[in-house]
Amino acid sequence: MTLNAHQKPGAALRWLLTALLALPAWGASGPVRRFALVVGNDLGGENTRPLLYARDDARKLYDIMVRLGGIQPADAMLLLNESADDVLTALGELERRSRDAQRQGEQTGIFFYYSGHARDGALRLGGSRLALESLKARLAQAPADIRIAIFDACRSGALTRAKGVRRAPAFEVESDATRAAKGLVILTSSAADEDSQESDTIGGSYFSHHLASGLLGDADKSGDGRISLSEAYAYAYERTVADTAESSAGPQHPTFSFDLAGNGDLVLTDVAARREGIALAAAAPAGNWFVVDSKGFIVAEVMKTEGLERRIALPPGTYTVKRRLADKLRVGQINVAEGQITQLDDRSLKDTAFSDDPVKGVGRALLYSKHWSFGLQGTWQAVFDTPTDQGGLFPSSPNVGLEGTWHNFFGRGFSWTIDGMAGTTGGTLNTGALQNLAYRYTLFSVGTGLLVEWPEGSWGPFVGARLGLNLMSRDFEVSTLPRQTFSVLTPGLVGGLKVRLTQNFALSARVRLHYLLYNIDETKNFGFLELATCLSYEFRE
Amino acid sequence: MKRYLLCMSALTAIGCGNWSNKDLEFLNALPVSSDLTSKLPGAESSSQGLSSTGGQRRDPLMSGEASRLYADTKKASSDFNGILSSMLSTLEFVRNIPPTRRESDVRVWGPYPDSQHPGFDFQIVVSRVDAENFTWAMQSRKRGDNFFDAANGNFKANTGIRRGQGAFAIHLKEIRAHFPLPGIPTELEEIEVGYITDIFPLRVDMHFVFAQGKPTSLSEIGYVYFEKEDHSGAMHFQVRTSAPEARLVETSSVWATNGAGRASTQIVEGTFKGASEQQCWNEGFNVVWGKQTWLGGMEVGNSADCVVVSGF
Repeated sequence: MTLNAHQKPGAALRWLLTALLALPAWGASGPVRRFALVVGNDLGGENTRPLLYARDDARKLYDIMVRLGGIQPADAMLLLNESADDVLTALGELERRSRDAQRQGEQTGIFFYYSGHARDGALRLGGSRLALESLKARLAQAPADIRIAIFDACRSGALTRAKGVRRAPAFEVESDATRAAKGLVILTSSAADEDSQESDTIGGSYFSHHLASGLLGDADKSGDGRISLSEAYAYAYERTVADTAESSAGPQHPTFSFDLAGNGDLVLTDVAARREGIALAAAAPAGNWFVVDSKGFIVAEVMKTEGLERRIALPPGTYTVKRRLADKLRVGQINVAEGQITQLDDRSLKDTAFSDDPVKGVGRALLYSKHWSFGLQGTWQAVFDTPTDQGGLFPSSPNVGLEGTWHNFFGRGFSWTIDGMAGTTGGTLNTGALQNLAYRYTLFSVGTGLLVEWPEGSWGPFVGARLGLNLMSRDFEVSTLPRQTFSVLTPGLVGGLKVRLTQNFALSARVRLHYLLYNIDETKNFGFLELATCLSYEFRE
Repeated sequence: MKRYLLCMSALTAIGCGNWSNKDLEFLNALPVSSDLTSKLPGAESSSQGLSSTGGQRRDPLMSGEASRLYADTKKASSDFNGILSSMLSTLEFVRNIPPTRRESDVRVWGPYPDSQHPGFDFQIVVSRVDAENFTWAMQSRKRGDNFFDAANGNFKANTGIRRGQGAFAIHLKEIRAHFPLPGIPTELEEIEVGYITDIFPLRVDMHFVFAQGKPTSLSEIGYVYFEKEDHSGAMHFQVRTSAPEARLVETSSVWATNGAGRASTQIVEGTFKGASEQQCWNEGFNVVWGKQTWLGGMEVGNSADCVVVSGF
């Protein structure tokens, strides 16, 4: 029999807790070599909208499992935006290693995580598809003692609803279980008829976010510093349903199924062993605490219970901690040092207005929405040519101009730009017997380009290609010499860094490197470098 | 507009325009009328010019009156300037368009249809002899025939804009053999011009060569113009005519920066040989001293009032 937590939420959840707590230890009853395949794919091919956080969720889970899950980096694989064939190839490699380990007498486990699109009974990995049934069958037959598969995808509950999964024969809670188990556990982020939702505020999908928070320590209901699968699932289920209950897409119900034999506790992460992160003392105020990273995304949530200490395993770094009260925020900085637990004290937090919420208002959905920005730029164009007073052809000049960018026009992070600028400078030309020939140089340049932007955070780098049209002219002080002009298409590369000043204003520093063909007297290959600063305004809703 | 559109189309593959340092060097070899024309202070004169110098009626010399010789000088200056400008107008045409053909030491503009002479084409060829020396030719042809030189010249460039020494000749006889030149005396066969623009005083020489032995009122005209850096200048011209009274008349003028000057004209050959007239004028171009030898001779004013202009 296959149980579906969505179909019978209350009873099923209790039953799952019981059952999973009875599962064989993931390392508890002897050394288990763990392998992990973590897959994230934002793209789902035709008739799907790119996801914003699937890859990030995968990275997050990968980091947690490697850091806290007892998985050696060499035994873990992270596939981002790869195809179905790549996934199967990687899975095959892990199966081979697991089989080899088993031949060496080791117990093995395979952890499979997928975040991305699923539709019509298949995972959608870009333009490729991976049928859920075949994947499930593959996992069921994988040469490992225990296989755990977690799917964070729309309608992924179809996996747990489908037939063919054998129910475990015994699920009694045995805290001292010693019997090794063999089997398959599948968790999904949503039921068979539900969408899995992402959130800009938390910077990920609800399910993966809460699963991650739970694995970092907040799901440690037993307080033993070890997060079991049952604890993690129960935590993620409860928080996901709660967070999505009022969403426009409706509540999202994670599901599970298992096909197991044996008993024992199945530990996914061990935050006690790591001893690195933050700790909330038992006396700390109850309620929700948020740990925010430097990009303004929530990396962990803590549901602090009165009188209980809570420990969250975080990698070294500086974090912002936030508590939300009815009338204000309590915000503070905390530094996590390597190998140390930093005690978090509410007294170190300061009252802050809601407008200064460290969780950035510009969510990824907004960042990656299609929208225009317009900017005013100042540019110095330096031509790689001999100075004109030494016989060169083209001078360098300052320019001012305007730039318009249609962000995410060609897809997430791919923007289309159009720009124009004008500049002028004076100089003297020496060529042959002509000496000290004073001239006024004028440049008009228009261009269009394709940029790849990484707009998240305060500093957003971008690179791209640009095709410019340079319209140059020079007028000589001597009226009898003709005005000279030169127009040429100039292909080039663009790179830069944008600093977000406010939600809508940004200042960017940009470098362009262009090719300049000269072919009037003779063919010469020049280049020019443009150094620019641009103040832009983004028209985002 | 069409050329611009073609240019824009071509931009997809190559650059487009006339941006060339070397073109400037070739253009620099071509004479510019504004460099060679005389700059005499004062407004344009209504006095008659060279062709009427000999044997005309003259009013009595009066001190304080507008200087007649200044007016003659001004008129001669204007006439020669007009001739120069006319001769060089075709060269001016190419300054605003890029060469049709570029070779390492040659620039060619044309051939273009000659709008004034249907069926004829013209082109301008400028060649570099070495780093400093250039030659040029303005060529014409009946469409389908070979080109002939209607004018040609040379230029030795020195440092600076159009600074150097050059010479050119207009081959009117050769041109007339192919098509008529209305408005130009048929006896005039060649105009030769030499110029020095790299040292002061600048100098321009013009020599009008007429057919020999033909009855004409003019048989030879010579002209020399000098200009100093302070814009003081001098002009000397001589006219050889068929009039028996004045077969060779020479006129010399000098003027200071403020316009005051002096001039003398003298019949060197002819029945009235020795007849002369001298005048000095002030910056208002009025006679301050004058002396003429005909009509019994006359002198007005004080010669001490004449401006002294040296260096010519």
